[in-house]
Amino acid sequence: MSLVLISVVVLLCLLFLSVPVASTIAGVGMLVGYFFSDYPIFESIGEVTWSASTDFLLLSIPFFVLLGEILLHSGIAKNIYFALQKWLSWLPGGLLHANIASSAIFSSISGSSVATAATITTVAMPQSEKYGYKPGLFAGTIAAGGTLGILIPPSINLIVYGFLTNSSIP
Amino acid sequence: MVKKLKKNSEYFIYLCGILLFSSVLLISAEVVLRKFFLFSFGAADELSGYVLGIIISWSLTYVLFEKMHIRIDVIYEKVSNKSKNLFDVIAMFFTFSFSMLLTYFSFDVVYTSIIKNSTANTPLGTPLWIPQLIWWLGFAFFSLVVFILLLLAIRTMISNKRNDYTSVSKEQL
Repeated sequence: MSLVLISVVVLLCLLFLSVPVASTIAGVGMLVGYFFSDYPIFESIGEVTWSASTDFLLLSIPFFVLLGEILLHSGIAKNIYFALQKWLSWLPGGLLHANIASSAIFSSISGSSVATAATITTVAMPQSEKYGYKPGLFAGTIAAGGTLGILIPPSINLIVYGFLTNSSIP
Repeated sequence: MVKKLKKNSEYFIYLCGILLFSSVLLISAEVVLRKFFLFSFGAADELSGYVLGIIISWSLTYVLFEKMHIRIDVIYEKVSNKSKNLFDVIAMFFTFSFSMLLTYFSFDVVYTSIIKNSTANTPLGTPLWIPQLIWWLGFAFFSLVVFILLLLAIRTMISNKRNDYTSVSKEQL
């Protein structure tokens, strides 16, 4: 019980002190490992870091990010967006539906929420001024659509999940 | 000096990009060869694993300069400039202690590989100290940069001026 309490309190304190999230999680991990575990944690840091950072499975994460960048810079993302804009123009509030739909398509290609939202924003945001949409509502649909990024596989979180639980990644 | 380090970290990130692309080519060639010619290099997964380790450690510095080490700024945005400088020092201190731990304990890995002449448990049998040394140097460079930024943050806290290298926001750079 005290383990959960202490780790959560330390975690939240450090996060709200604007310590970088990576250092926070590492610090809490070491704290818990040192005080609440019988196994030596500091001796194994080096080996664990080496074996985790050279894992062949995890290489797919930078590759997914790379794929997203290639799609963005080659203009395919733009074409997807404009095609959906034409298809969904008959709905009331057409561009908003186009935002969600292109986020869904893009998230089935790329793996992360942030990448999806950023990509769709660079393509879609100029349209909102052009057609006089309310910027808050328009950005809201992109933000909501971006969360589809990790829901629709392949996504980075599911790769990490498969890596941790040894389940197969299709 | 910090500017120079920032410039250098950009060069390293280009090298990392080249490495990543070469491992893409290697894996693609491996897949095609295996599927159609029943032939394999036998080392593509191992080599690209080393590539992953190396790009992870060497890109940390660039990511630090680009403010992509995510920090939660809910409270940070609401306090005065003086407290902001204090927050920066705390953040830099934690990053520094983390990076020093990583550097110190990953040197153990490299050192063990060198004195025991370890080779990888694969057909290629790579002497492990070569990729591990490059990997460790990335962490060492990161620790050096974080140390300099920590000193910079402390100087900023004393002189009470703005300092765009350690603050949360990126726009001022």
